[in-house]
Amino acid sequence: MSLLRVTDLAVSFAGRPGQDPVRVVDGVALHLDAGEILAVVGESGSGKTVTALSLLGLNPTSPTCTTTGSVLVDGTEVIGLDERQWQKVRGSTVAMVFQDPSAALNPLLTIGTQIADAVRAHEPMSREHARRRAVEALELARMPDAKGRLGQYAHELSGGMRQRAAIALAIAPRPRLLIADEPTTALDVAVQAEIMGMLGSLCSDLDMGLILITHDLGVVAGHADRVAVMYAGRLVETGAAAGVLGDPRMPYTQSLLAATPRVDGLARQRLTAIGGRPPNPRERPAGCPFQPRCPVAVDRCSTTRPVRVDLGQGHSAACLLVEQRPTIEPPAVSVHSGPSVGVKILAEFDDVSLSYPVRGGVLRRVTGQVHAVRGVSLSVIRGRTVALVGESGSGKTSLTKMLLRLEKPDRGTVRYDGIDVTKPDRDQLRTLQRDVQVVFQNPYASLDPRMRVRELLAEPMKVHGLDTDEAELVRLLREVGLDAGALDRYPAAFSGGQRQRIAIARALALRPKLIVCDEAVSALDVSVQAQVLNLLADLQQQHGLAYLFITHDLAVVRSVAHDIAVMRDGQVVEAGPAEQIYQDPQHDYTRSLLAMAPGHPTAPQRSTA
Amino acid sequence: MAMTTKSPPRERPVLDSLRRDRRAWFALPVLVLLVLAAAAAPFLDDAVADTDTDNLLAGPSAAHLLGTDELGRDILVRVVAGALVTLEVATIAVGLALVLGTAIGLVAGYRGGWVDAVLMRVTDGLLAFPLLVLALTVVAALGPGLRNALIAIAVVTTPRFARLVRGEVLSLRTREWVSAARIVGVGTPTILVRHLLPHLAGTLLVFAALQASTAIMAEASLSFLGLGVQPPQPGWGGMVASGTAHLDSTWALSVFPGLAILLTIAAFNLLADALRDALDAHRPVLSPIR
Repeated sequence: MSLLRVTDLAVSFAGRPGQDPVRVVDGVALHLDAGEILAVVGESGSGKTVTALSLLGLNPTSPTCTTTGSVLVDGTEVIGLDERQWQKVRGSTVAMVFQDPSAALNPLLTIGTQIADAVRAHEPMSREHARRRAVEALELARMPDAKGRLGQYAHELSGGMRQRAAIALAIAPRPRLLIADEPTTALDVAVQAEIMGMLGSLCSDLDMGLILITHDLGVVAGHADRVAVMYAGRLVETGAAAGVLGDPRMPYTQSLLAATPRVDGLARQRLTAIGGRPPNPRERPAGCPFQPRCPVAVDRCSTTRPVRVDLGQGHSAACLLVEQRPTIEPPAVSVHSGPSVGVKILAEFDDVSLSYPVRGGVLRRVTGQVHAVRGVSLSVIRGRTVALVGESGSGKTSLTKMLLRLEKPDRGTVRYDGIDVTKPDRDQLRTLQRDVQVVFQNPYASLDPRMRVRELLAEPMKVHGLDTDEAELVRLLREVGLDAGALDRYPAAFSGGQRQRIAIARALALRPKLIVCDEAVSALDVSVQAQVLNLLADLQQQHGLAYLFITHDLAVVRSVAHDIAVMRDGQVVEAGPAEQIYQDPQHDYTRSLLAMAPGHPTAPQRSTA
Repeated sequence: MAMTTKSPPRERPVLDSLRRDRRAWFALPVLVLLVLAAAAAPFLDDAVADTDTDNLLAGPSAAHLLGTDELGRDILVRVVAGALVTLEVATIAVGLALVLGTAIGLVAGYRGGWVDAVLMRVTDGLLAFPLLVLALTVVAALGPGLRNALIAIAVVTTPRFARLVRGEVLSLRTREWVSAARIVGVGTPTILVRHLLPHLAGTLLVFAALQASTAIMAEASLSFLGLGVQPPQPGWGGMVASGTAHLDSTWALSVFPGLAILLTIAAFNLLADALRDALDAHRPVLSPIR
């Protein structure tokens, strides 16, 4: 008997009065055995999180939300349980780990108290016994010095340790099924690898089923036994991870794979982006939901809704053309080249250091210094992309803040085109303000939500006395692939990828020479990420732009960088042309970073159980 | 999930929410009545002073619906006319405090450093006194009268706005869109007005409504002590005060203006609550997660 058997699960949310309910999950079927890892993959809005929450009874209650179908956990039907019955299931049978561990842990309770409470909620036991169970759970989560952590609070732990604590909290009542929603997305590469490894061994050691919700196909390839691909609330392809990723039969799965940058790919290879965006749940096409974006769609795809066809060995895909074996054309090898004209150093960091004061005590006196950047020298060359790679806290962002004049270096100089950025005269300041732009990671935070796109684009131009007529604004929007209709809307009306395009258009408004991209694509879905990366590459070619590209994703680096600088603890440990760093990394840290990068999904590493 | 971004932008969600709020249904008619009464006040100058010497301290009757005061003046007319003072307090005194306090808070929060330190220590100093005590001190220094009472109330309310705004600005100024504006060279005044102020509007509106009720109470108290509105101009606080001297002969003189104060304060408070909830409800109805 399967540990989990989901049949025909559908979840609808009530709309505003007068509107029809929206079906966000439709006809989903899953099964999972003990000890198995099932990855649920999909872009934002595909319904993967709602599906997971249904397994825990955490969707809002009727009439806001209606859940139908059948979910058998360990043979027991859980759909239709009331809140009291759910409380018995949650934690003890099914548990969940969330993406953001700092939000999942109560900041006012010690780790030990929280875990002990969770255990005692399901089994009456002495405090002492609960404490032992807490230590045991922390040890299972491979928390270093498990006993010592009991008395600590969440804020005293690092991100990775917090996630271990959150996992310990989830597994302490010994659930049969664990659901992990993007458990490593917020973490650094190295920690990510450790946590995923730990979750994998937990499953086999405790004979527990794991549902891993993720958008990262690299993680799926490395850790999942089976995979379920969701699109627009439906399950479109499922099967053994090796089968689905090695021989994807649904064009959507193929497109996702093609859009994923690969660490082992060609340098600066153009990605095959998926055009458009997932359908709005209210306006899903009558036929195949992927049809509007599908490069191989035929006429009947828009009228006939495909059902999943069994392809043998548990592999099934929902595509009308599955028998014809449609394939997305492999990307024509097109590599972005560097600048053709001579090498000109545009920006230069010369032995730069930056530290932040640490204040303590009631008088907020400076009690110490955090050295964010320590003696870094680095050049950015016109028309080329320098990727700054490193984990969070390695000083990447602090370094660029000095170029952007948001921080002043304690030591060393930052020059742009011969200008010392710390003390520019009036004209030089104007030059800096025009030539050096930034695109931030989170397009939800970097655009003033109270300004229309028109005002957002015109603002920098007005400051610099440039012409802001309609035609110019429309030209900017066209350049980033948006149309004139966007001008009078607020950022809230756009998706993440579109907002990032708006942010890029704003950066382009002053015709800059250098754009700092601070994790500019990390918050985007794979298909959208590919669109934005391609856009950045096109703009570089057209305008001879230089990019200072901050990222922690080595696969993204591979697809954009001409040069790479690896940072750690505020220092550049290795720098050079991208080719050289990938082929022949010199520093141990670079080697370990490369080794820990999730492999490309077409090469699954975990064998089918 | 991206559902929040995909649902169509709601049409005037704040008004919709207010329309469904029973507190708003109580508050708005009371406030409309207040404004109408205040608007009528200039036309009541003669009626306010008109004395009916045959009926001193009379209870409610057909001729005087709410009775008369110790000089035989009609209480209803004086309560209606007294609304003007109350409205002035709610608009002029609170408006003054809003403008001043917001300016101080914006500068202190955005500039930081010693500017912030100086402004906030002064603010803290003012906030350390109980509101009424401070208002009394200011009036004592300036002399009694409605104008000075308004100034006193503005002075004691300003630091409250400054504190609130500074706190909000501290968090807003680190937002990336502010950095983005600074990087392209947008000047400080523009950042304060275009990038910070609009985000404070909702909070300020709610807070102003709350402060209006406090200010009305403060003015009534000052006038009760004879430091605010000077006779013969009608003001609710002063009317309650004169009524206390005659409580053994009639209750009407104190009770009706007192009731007017109570209703107005309640209306402003409930309006503030309703507004807060309406402005908070930015989350669309269907956002089950995140």
